[in-house]
Amino acid sequence: MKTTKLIVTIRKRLEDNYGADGVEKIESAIAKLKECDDSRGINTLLVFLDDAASVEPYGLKPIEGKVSAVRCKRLIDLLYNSISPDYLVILGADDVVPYFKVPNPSLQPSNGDDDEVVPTDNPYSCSKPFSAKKRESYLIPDRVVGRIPDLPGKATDIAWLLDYLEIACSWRGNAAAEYDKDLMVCCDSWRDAGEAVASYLSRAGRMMIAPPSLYNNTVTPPILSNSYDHRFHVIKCHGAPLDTTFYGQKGNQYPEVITSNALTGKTVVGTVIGAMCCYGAALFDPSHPGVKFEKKGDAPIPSTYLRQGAFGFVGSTTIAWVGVSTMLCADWIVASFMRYVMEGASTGRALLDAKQEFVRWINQQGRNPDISDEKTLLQFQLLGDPSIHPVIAAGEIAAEAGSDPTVETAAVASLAFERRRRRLFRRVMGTELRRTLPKREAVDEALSSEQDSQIAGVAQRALNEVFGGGSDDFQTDFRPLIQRVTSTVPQENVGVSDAVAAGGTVGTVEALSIAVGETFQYYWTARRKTERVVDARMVKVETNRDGEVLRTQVLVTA
Amino acid sequence: MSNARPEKVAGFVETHVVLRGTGSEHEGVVLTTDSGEQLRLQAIGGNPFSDPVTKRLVGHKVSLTGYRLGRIFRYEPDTIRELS
Repeated sequence: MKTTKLIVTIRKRLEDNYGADGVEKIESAIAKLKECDDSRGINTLLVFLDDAASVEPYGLKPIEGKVSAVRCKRLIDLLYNSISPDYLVILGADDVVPYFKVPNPSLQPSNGDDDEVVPTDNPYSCSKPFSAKKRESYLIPDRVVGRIPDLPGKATDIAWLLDYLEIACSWRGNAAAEYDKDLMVCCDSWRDAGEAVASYLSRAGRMMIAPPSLYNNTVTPPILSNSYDHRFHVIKCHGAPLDTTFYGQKGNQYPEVITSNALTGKTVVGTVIGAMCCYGAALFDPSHPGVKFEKKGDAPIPSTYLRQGAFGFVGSTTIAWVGVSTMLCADWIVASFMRYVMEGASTGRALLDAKQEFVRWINQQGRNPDISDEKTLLQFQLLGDPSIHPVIAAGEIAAEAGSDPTVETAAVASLAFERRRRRLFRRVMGTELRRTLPKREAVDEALSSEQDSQIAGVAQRALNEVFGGGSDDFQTDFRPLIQRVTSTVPQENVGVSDAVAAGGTVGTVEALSIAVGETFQYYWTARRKTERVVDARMVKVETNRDGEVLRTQVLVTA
Repeated sequence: MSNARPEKVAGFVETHVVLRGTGSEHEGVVLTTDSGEQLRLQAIGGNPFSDPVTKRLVGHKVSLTGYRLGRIFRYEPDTIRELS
């Protein structure tokens, strides 16, 4: 039994960017990757979705005319039916194989999160056929997917892609100890949540705080630039679109922390990066005149990492939600991804597991994902080959180290079988998690105006509790976004005697077969004015239908 | 090379709360056009979260040339023109 890795791309768009010669070079690089993967027990297939010669062997027709994410996904789904790959690689940036652009679940255009849409690979990670009107079709992933990007734009240097493909050929897993040294940095404003991330990763006390841990800081140790050549990177800072810099924060200061330029020549092979930053994984054409750069031509930070030998980069395509004093949203996805990688998962599986486990954990608490959780699931993506195992688990070390080829082959087959079982498990889990997704409905007013007003007071107190200060510090002087959230839970085998014992009747037994839960989620964006910058947060208050507060949560974006 | 085309916009700049609920939020660097569209201003090359050049536009009616990034307008600082 062998593992299959499916690589998909669009020939026409690669030709537009690099010419026929360029595509030949890419095909040659993939042929080499195929050889390397073969020695690892992986059968790698390259399919040009717009090329008849490429898809007809599978009994399929190529994409003709306009290339859209929906059309790509439809063909990929059919390929899954034929070859059932364990890994899906999307080759090229958004202008080669397009992202889906799905509605932003936490859109608050006049107040806060103003991303109209979320560019995402998540629908490619879902086995369900895509339906724009059904978020359950694209929210819960159950496939292992990664994107090997080129540098976006016309006539960019093909070496950005070819160099990474060389990494994908030559990678070897490391002992976990190779990742003991780290670069972890967090905005001062979120240091408590940053410390929680470090603790979760069993690296308590190692989170650098920015400021003062500036990349060019020569005064106060620890100096971040001394850690560029470490292999374990977690960055919980600010980011911006078309920007080659991540920023720290303390009050109104937003100092530069990491830049593409500063990273150049510093990353070592095998580095794995998780970034909670807004736009952390948003790739762009470096020649765009609106780019904020340190040195003209600087590439996006993820591209810089990958070209220098990083194995994988997980980050967000848009504005990301993070925790202030505790881990929330992006913190969980990134930290879990890093943790699973350290436990021996491939980068692709680590992200899939991180996302599913995030939703599973919410379900386990008896709750529903909120709008920020849903956006987080969509916006985080893996850049890099999803089949790379940065850390080799014990069994795989044995397989690789074996000198007897027969034993090695048997071990590879066993590992492939285990991989199939893991994929099946995730698919089943994905189906279950999709089933639990609640219905959401925006409402103007959830309860009586008096109750709504009391709930606003709860939000105010939650803010003060998290950030301190007097009650006037934060202002929630605008209407909240209110959603009615309805979920159903099938009841297990409620027997007649149980129902009677509970004071029920046979009739109520039938009524109990499906329990319906309804809550209201209120979302405020609150702000505290300072001299130049407004310190702002989103507060969620969830109540039952009687207006009793169930929980509060405070988030910020990165 | 990028095929992004520059665009000229004009309007009144004021302090305004943008990106509420986000740690990336800024106060008062929003240009409102005559048609009522609101764009967050960021100078090319400036710190997107705290930039003195952009801050100085507050209270003025100006025209600028730059590029739209969603609801952000990233402008060339040397294209600032004050309108009477």
